[in-house]
Amino acid sequence: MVLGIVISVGILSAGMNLFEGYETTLRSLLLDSIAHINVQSSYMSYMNEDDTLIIKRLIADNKDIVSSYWTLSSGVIAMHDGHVRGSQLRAYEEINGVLPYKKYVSTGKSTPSNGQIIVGHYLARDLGLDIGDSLTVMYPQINRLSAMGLYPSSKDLQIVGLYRSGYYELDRSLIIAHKSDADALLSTASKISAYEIKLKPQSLDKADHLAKSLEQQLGVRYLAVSWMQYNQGLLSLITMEKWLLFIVFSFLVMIAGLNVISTISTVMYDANSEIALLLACGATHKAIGSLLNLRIAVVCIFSVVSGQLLGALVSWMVVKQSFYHLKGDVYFIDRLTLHISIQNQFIIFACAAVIVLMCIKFPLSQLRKLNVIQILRYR
Amino acid sequence: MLCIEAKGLKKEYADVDQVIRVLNGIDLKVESGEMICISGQSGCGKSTLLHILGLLDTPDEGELKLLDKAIPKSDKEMALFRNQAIGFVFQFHHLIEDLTASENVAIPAMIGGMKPSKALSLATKLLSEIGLSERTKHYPNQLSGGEQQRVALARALVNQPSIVFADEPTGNLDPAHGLEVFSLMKSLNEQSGQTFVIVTHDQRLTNFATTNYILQDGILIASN
Repeated sequence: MVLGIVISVGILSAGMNLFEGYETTLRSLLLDSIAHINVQSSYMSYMNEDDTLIIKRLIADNKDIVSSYWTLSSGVIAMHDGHVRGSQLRAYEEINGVLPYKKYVSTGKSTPSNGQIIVGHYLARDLGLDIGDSLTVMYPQINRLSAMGLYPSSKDLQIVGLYRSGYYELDRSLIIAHKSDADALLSTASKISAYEIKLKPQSLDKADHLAKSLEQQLGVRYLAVSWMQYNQGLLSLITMEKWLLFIVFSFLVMIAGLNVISTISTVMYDANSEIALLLACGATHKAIGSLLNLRIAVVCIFSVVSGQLLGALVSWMVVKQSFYHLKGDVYFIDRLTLHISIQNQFIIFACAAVIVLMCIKFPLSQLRKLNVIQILRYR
Repeated sequence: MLCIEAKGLKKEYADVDQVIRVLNGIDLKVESGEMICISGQSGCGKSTLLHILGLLDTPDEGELKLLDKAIPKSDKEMALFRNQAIGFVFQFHHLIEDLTASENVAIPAMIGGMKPSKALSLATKLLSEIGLSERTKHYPNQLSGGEQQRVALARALVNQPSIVFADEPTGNLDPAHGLEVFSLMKSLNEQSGQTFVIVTHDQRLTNFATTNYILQDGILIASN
């Protein structure tokens, strides 16, 4: 009985800890590595660098904003030694000598100079590249004219740093270049793709409202898109999956609860001579029920708490193991993480406790049906 | 004072295809301090009558008064009355195997709300009085059949009940131990003035009783 509760609650708790860890990590990486509000041209074309001055002026006094910068980006093809990968070329505005992605540069330089690039960790690995190697970046639009005719622009750039955020989509495709190199490849002198705004963590939920307000102030030439519009569906889906998992694993606790019913019924059958004697000696059904209830409830509650501790231990071991890793291209992140939420643990405790306590009540309610006379006479 | 007063007690059981009337109008009056024996053939309803008199069962018809009081209605009041005014001895001793002799004896006192330490010291004293002072810490499986039944008798007496009901108390004992237990009950009856109602098959033991009854065809007949 105890083992059943401990294992089922352990599975539920471990599942929730890992799913909570996944949800928290993905949300945190996502919100840390992408813009919270993206201002771009309504006409799907590049903006002028001067346009950013208007936006900067509008958001200057907004206390919800932590930073803002322009970016120039486009899809490109990365080629090396016969290997080809679709990638995303980006150039960022440097604010006070700091680039917004700096903390994710795991190795090498964080600021590429002219002719240098920082590439995603997995992109480098897939192409067999390391710092110091050269990567050919090609913009797949025919925009160059030569004696041989039109051809796409391409550039050999030297890798000076590796980018690793943990968000697989960026780690496998990002190429960060100097603005002049990006301009040369994309033919976009003094142009930018978007103006990105980062919000304070406590203001993330205001992103939609701020984007709409900004859009109204900027007029029809600009489009302001919040992170919610891009990613809220994904995060909501993950939250829903987590609670579906909770419901499914709760059935295991219910099965353990059935075990509680059968165990108590067996105990009551084995001890019915003692119970009948206590009734004959003047104990009430209620008193015997309360006594059994209290003792079994203490054991069950202890089992539930032990199950939660087991769940924490198992989820910790799963995170620490090195045999299995998440597939980044499927799950967006490539590592399992653990997050023990007090709220979740309380919900697990409350649900498991309610299930097992209800399972205790049922057999004890049969106490009144005990045939005291038959037992005392024949056993 | 009338300790037990039963009028027209009837009880019947439904068998597969017939109704068996076990008690067919029992009238009984037992004075305080009496020791009565009820005998009769197996299955004649002796134990059923005892259980009704001891408030473990209810009659289909009839009136019952114990200690000049009507029977309590609620489960709680009935349990309290049974705890304080009634003691039971069964054919099978029903001692709890995990408890020592003194702990077994102390059970009714603790159910009655006595502190465990006081109940245990009372139980030890009572066991000494019935000659089991060396056996207080023994578990039931370490006691002989006669000793087990004496412990069960001590358990029935620990709350100093006014009435003790004994259902075949010697039925599971050899003749020598049976006589020993019966003698003990008789001496306790004489010393404390408690009323004993004993159901037995053993005709030798009926000599100890102040009144003997035979239960036949659902009717109680005084035999002396």
